[in-house]
This record gives sequence, structure tokens and C-alpha cells, in this order.
Amino acid sequence: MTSLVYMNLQDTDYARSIVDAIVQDNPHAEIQHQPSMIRIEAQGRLDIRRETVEELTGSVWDIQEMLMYVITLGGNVVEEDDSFSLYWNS
Amino acid sequence: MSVEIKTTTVETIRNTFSHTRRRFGDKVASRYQEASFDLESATNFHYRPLWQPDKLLNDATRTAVVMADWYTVSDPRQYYYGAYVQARAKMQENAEHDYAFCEKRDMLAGLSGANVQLISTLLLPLRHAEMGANMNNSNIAADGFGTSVTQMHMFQAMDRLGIAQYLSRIGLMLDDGDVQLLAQAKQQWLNDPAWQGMRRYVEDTLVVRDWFELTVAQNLVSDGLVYPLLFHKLDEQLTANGAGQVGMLTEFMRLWFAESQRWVDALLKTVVNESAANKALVQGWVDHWSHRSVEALQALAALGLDPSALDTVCSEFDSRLKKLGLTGAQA
Repeated sequence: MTSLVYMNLQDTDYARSIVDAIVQDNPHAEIQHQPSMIRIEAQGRLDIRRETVEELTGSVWDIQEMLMYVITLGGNVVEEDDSFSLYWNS
Repeated sequence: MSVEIKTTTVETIRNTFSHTRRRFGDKVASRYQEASFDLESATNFHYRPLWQPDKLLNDATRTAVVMADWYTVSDPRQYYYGAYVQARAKMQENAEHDYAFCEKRDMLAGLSGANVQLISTLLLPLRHAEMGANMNNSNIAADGFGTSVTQMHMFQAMDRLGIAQYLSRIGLMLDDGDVQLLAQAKQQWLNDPAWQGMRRYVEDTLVVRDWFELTVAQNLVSDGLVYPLLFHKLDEQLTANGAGQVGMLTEFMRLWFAESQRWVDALLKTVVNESAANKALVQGWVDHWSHRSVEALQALAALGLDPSALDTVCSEFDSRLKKLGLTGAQA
């Protein structure tokens, strides 16, 4: 059985473009809108790519800025300059 | 007694404003979308303006360019007031840091006479041209149609004011806080034969009534040639002459130019691709103004730039125009 990786973001204008990018890059991800919070769950793995977010917002994005809006996350984290990945070793 | 804690979810009834929903569909909209599209009043005006009774107050026919919908133009940087101010505040903070550092270390004191001459004859008088660019863009913001178009020009206008101020500060710093060099730069702007072509270009654009022609003349052609020449080529030359520290003071302009090109190109692309008639109009304006701008810059380049600099700038501008579906300037 594979577990879910997840991340909760504050529901802000800033986070919405990140969520849009996640949906684009991870078709298997499931988005739940909760009060003032967006929860993203996915089977096995979740990738956030800098390029996709930059395309959507039209501006330069430092991926670490995202952490200011993260409420919680679950999974092993691999953080690069260009991507942020969550996964479980299975 | 037991206390039960539970969360209640309140469903939003409306995701966004009705006019935003009609354009982008019923979903949560970005701030840029809400602050930029279908905002300018387009109908139900009570009076026509006294100063132009043949047009409405907000009228899309103040330019010969015809767009079915001006809101197809959007800003690739997605700047609305908030995003713009934040981005510029960040840039300004960096620039202020560089200026403070240069002042503290007195880095302009060691410049050779030849380098001071280059800066004071080629960069300082440009602040008057920047003031013209400020007025032109304000003019476009007043006459243009569609908030997504006019706001970009208003931001551009404010940027030019800032750049004029930075140029003035370079003059003050070179002169140890005195205003002699700036006064001299004004005399050059008014009287030096080499600057008169540029001055005429700026003054003639101030009275162009078609706002799209004005944006082509100012933001595409003039900026597209002046900035690479005076902020890239001149900077390369200063660096080669051992005055690389001046690059710290003009870095803001280079970053700003790289950024502003993006929206200018997006605007031109959208308008040119709309119809063959638009393309022909814009091409005519590009031909007319680029011819004049190159002529004006030839005189300036002769003041001390490498002879090949202007040719390189022109051919780079040509390839930029080609990407927009237009053909280029001739040197």
C-alpha cells in the first residue's frame, strides 16, 4: 500500500498560483479547499517546479518563499533550487 | 459535561466579481485579474468631454489601431498596483544600497577625466529625455483604453521619473554634491548640436496625438535603441576604461530595461497579430520613428562611443522586431 504525501498551504492569492502549478505538474494530486487553507494530497509523490510557478505568475520565484505559507507537510522532502518534492520510500 | 469542538465550513457564494467571472469563468481569480480587466467605464457617459467633443470620455478610438477587445492585452509580469510597488521597492532597496556603498567608499573620486567626460556628456543630459518619457507615458495612460493597457503605461511613467532621479544623483555624486555638472548637462540638452536630434525626437513625441503611435515611438523604438546604447554599450566601454564601478549606479536601468521589454513585446505582439491593418500601421510607425531615432543616436555615438556600437544595437533591435513579426530599423 502506498501512503499519501500531503501539504497544507494558507489560502492566499500567492498560494493559489502554486496550487495551480501543482495541479499542472501532478495530475494525480487531489486538492481540498478548507477554511482559509488548501490541502494537497497525492499518492506516493508530489513535485513543485519553480518553472511552472514562474510561468503562471510571470515573475521570478524563490522556491523557499513558499515555506512562509506552508502550514504542514508530510513526506520525505527533497529541496532543490528548481524543485521541491515530497515522497515516501516504499 | 462534554464540549464538542467542530469545524464549520462556510461555502463562498461568489468566487469573484461578476465582470471578472464573465471574462475568466466562475473560479477564484488572481489579484491581477481582478485589478486589471474590464474596470474602465465603457458605457453610459452623461457628457462628452469639453476638450474633445467628438469622443467619449473613455474612447477606444483615440488611436488608429483597432482591437476587438483591448483586454486581450495582458502584462506578462502580472503587475497591478500592489505587485508593481513591491517589485520596485525591492529593486530600489538594492539600488539604494549600491549608491550608498559608492558614496561611502567615494568610488567616483578616482575616475579619469576621460571617463567623467563620457558620463557627463552621454548620461547626464539623458535625464531630460527620461522626463519626456515620463510625460509621454502619462499621456498614453490618459488617452489609452483598457486598464490592463493603461496601468502598464502609468507604471512605466513612474519608473522613468525614478530613472531621471538616479541619473541626477550620479551627476551630484560626480560633482561632490554640487550641481555644476547637472547645469552643464542641461545646457548640453538645450544647445549641444549632438544632443539636438535626441531633443527634437523627445519634443516631437510629446505632441503625438495617437497614443499607440506614441507607445511605439517611446517604449519600443526610442527605449529599444537608447537603452542598449547608453546603458549597455557605454557601460562596456566604461568598464574597459577601468570605470566598472559606474556600472553599480546604472544597474537599476539595465534590470528595469530587461523587465520592461517584456510587456512592450507582449503588447506589440498582441496588437500586430490582431489584424493585417494593425500590422501595417505599426510597421509604418516603426519605420518612421526608428529612422529618426537612429539619426539622433548617430550624433550622440560620435561623442565618444565605439564606432561599431550603434550598428550592433541596431542589428539586435532588428532581431527583436523580427520576433514581433515586424521588420527592423536601418542604421
